[in-house]
Amino acid sequence: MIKEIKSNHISTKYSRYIKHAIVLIIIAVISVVIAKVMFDYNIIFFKIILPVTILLLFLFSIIVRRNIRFKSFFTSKYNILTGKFRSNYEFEFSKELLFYKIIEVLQESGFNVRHSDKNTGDILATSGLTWTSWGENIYIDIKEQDGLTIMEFCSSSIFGIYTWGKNEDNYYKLLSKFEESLTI
Amino acid sequence: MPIIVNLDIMLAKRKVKLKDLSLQIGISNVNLSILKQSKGKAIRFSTLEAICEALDCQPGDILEYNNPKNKY
Repeated sequence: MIKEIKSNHISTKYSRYIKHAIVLIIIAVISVVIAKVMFDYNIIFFKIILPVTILLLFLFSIIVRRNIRFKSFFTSKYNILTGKFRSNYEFEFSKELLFYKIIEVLQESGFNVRHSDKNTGDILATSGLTWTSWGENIYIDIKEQDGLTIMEFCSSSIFGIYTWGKNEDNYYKLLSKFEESLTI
Repeated sequence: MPIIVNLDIMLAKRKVKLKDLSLQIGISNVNLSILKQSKGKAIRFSTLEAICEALDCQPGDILEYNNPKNKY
């Protein structure tokens, strides 16, 4: 019924833990280096410019996240401040049917659908800010290709270079909700 | 799939629109379209019951088994 074409997911739990450990080590090393530079030298860049820039970018992301016009900002591979998870799936549904079904599943999964355009197949759904998460933006593009319907999925964190697999987990929860909803 | 859903035929026989059936039985238009196109994974007894009640028909009027071996 549905088939994954291309994804940047990590296949096993074991390899996932290794990736988390490597990222943790890198973050720790960078933090130690920055802290050392800050204490040893009175560099204005680390004391004022860097924290202010990060804060401004964070506020900017929070403000513009619900607007579809900033899709390229959140999904761009050059935007290193947002962790992303991408996947492509092909479905045996028509484009229109899949479009409405995805919206239904997103709403049932607790996401707020902020933008949807039937003609272009674009959907933007967001999850709210919580104590444990900055929130997540889900960009879905539904296209027709060689008689099949392709869903291009991109989940982007609002703020955070690395999402610790949260976006990936949400994606698979969404897919399983989709499969479940096919029992009518 | 050897199971064929004949919902469109029953809808035409009863002259009922999919949208009206959706409102009557409380199942979304999208889900009924998926069912009609035989793209669903399974059908609940409660759904089948609601459709049969609304269209005044039997489950056999909605579902049909087409044995692939019979083709040869």
